[in-house]
Amino acid sequence: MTLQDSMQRTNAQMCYSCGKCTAHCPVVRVGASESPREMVERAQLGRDLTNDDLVWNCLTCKLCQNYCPEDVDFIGFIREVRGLSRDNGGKPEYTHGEMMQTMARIFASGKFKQNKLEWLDRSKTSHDGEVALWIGCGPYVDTALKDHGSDQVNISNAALDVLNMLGIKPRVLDEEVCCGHDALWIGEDETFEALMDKNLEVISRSEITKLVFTCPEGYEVMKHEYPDMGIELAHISEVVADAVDDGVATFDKMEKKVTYQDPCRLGRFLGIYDQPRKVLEHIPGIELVEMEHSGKRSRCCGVSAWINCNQNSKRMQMERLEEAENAAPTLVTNCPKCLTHFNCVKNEDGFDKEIEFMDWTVLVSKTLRGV
Amino acid sequence: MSWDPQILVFACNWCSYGGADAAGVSRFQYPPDVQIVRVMCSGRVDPGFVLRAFNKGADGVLVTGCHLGDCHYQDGNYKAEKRVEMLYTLLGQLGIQSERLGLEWISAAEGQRFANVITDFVGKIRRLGPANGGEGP
Repeated sequence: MTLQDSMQRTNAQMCYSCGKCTAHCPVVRVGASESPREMVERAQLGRDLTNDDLVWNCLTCKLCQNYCPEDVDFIGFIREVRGLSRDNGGKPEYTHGEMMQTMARIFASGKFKQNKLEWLDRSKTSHDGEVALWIGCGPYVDTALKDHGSDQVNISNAALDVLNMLGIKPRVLDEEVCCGHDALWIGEDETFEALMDKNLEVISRSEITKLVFTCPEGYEVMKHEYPDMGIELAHISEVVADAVDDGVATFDKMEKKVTYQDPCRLGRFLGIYDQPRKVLEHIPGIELVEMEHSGKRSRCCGVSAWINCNQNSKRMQMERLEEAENAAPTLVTNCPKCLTHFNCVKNEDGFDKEIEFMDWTVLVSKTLRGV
Repeated sequence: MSWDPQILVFACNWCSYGGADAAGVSRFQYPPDVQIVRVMCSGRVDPGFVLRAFNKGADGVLVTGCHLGDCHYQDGNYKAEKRVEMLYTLLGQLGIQSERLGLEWISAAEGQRFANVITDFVGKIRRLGPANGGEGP
C-alpha cells in the first residue's frame, strides 16, 4: 500500500484546495499546526505525511466531509495514512498509558478467557432469543476509568430494562470481544481483523437475527467494516423510536429541559438524527432545545479512539459545553464515550459550567413505562 | 517439562531498588526469574505498563515501592496502591488471575526482605503456572 493508492481510493487526488474542510475542522479551529487542505495538498505533491500533526490529531469526526465538493473521503485517507505511518514506526499519543489499546490486543490474541459479565442480571436476559444486546468494552472501560466518569455498565443495564419493557428479553453473547473500532481507526489493521474474525464466529454460532447497540462505534464498525452478517443491526434509539411509531410505548412524565449531542458515529456515519429526538420529544415534560451546532453540523466531544487527548481536546469540550449550557441545563449524550469525555472535563481546574450530563438510554429507561 | 516463569518487577529508585542493591551487596540469594525495571517512583507505574507486560507474555508482575508514608514524592505509593487495586479488578475481568499481580513495600535497608519477597512471589507464580497455560476463548 502506498500513499498514491490511498489517494486513489479516497478520492484525495480530486481535491482542488478549496479549503472548506479546513474552515470547518474542529481541530484546526482550536489550534492544529496544519489543515486538512494542506495535508491533502502535500500528499498530491508527494511529500512525506507520516509526521504531520493531523495524522494523529484528526478526530475522524467526518465534519469536513459534509462540505467537500469533491467527495474526498478525508477521514478514510487519514486512516490509511495512519497505517502507513505505523509501518514507519509512527504512533499516536496513547491516553491512559495505552491501556485501552493493550486490552484490544489482549482480546485479539485470544490468550485469556474474559470474565466481564459479573454485574449482569441474567433474569433480564434469555439464552436462546433471536435478539442480542451488544455489551462491548464497557465493563473494562468502567473499571479503568471510574475516576473519569465512565458509566457504561449503567447504560447497558438501562438498555436491558428498556428492551425488557418493550417485551424483548435479549441475549448477551458471553464470548463477544471488543468490536475493534478503535484498533481500526488507529491503523492497527491486524488487531482489528483478529477481533472481527472472533466476533463473526461468535455471532454466526449464536444464530441471532438482530443485534442491538448502545454504543454507536460498535454499530458503525459492524455495519460498515464487517462483512455482511445477514442479521439486522440497530441502535437502541431506533428500537425505541419504532415502538413509539407503533404507538406501543408509553412514558412517565419527566420535567426536564434538555439538549442533545449527536455522536459522530451515530449521526454523520449512520445518519441517525431523528429517532433519538423523536423519542425525547415524545416523553411528556421533556423540552428539547437544539445547540447552535447540531444534527449534521454537530461538534465533536473532543477525543476519539483513546488517542491524543490534549489541550485541543479540552478546548473543544469546553466550547461544546458552552453551547450546551446556553441551550439547556441537561446535556443528553447518546454515546458512552461522549459521556466519559464530558464527565472527564468536569474534573479540570477552572471548570465553571452548571450542566448535568445524562445518557439517552438511561433517561429513556427512567421514563419508559412498558407497552 | 521445564518451565521458568517470566516475572517483571518494578522497583522505585529510592527504596525498593535500594533494597535490591542491599540484597546484592549482602549476598542474599533470590531466584533468577525476575527482571527488575527501575522507575523513579512506584507512582510512575502506569496500569498500561502492567497490561503490556501480560500481553507480551509475563507470568507475573510485582510492583514495589517505599513503605506508605516514606515516599520520596510524598504520595506516589498511595497512587500506586490505588492503581493496583483497580488492576486487580481489571485483570479478573480480562481473565488473568489477579494473584499474578503483586504489590509490596520494601525500604532501601531491607535487603533480606527484598530477597524474601522475590522468593515468595516467584514461588507463587511457579505454583500458578504459565499465565496463558491452556486457556483461551
